[in-house]
Amino acid sequence: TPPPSPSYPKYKLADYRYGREEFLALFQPEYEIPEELLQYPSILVEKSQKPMALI
Amino acid sequence: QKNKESRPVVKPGKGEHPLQFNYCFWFSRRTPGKQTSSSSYDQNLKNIGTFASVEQFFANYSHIARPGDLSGHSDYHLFKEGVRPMWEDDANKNGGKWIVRLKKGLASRCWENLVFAMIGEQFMVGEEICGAVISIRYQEDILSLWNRTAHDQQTTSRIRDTLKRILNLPPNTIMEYKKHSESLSDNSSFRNTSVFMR
Repeated sequence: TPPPSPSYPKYKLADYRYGREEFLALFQPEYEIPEELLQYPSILVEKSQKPMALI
Repeated sequence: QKNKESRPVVKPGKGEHPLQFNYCFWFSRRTPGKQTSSSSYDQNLKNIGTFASVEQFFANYSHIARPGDLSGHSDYHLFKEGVRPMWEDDANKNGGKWIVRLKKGLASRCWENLVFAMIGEQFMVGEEICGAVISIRYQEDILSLWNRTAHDQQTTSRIRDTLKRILNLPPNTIMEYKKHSESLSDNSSFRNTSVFMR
């Protein structure tokens, strides 16, 4: 594993940060299809797919 | 209230988890047999969804085909709202990108790790990140992460190191950096790159 990058004080931390585990914890099994996506049937998947990390 | 593309302004819903920035998903697929010029690239780009919260992100992400399930010469682009995934955009014109070439079969998982890290602000380089691209090609797939300032080596190194960690790449993985100004002059996204290895 590479050592952590030294800290760069020129950048301040963002207010809204989420790690991978936070994303996975917030995932719900069902989401309504966003309306805009209905215009793109070639990439639309009707049934909600789980994140790869949960498969 | 409308933005310049006259879409409604996207905001986090009540009780949702806001992201630091709004992002847009874009999709493009090369039309077989057609010459790739800058204008046809622009015409092929489709803005397929915008989100402002973790929940809105998942609503899009969970209903969009995984990159590994796409066929042909296709790209997903995920960029901050207001930035078009083009070298010429104001946010990109002085920037560049890190490129990671992936063996077939890894695209969906690597893309997910990169997307979580980018929209979850894990790179910690302020507002330097512009967006990410997964390019599905015939022999290999290619991940790219675009940033604003190509000549800022402290920033590009930090992005490279974080990218290696979040993708869990083996130590001898080759990573390439290419300035968009060079892509514009050789009209190529992935040729003539600067190669880094560590």
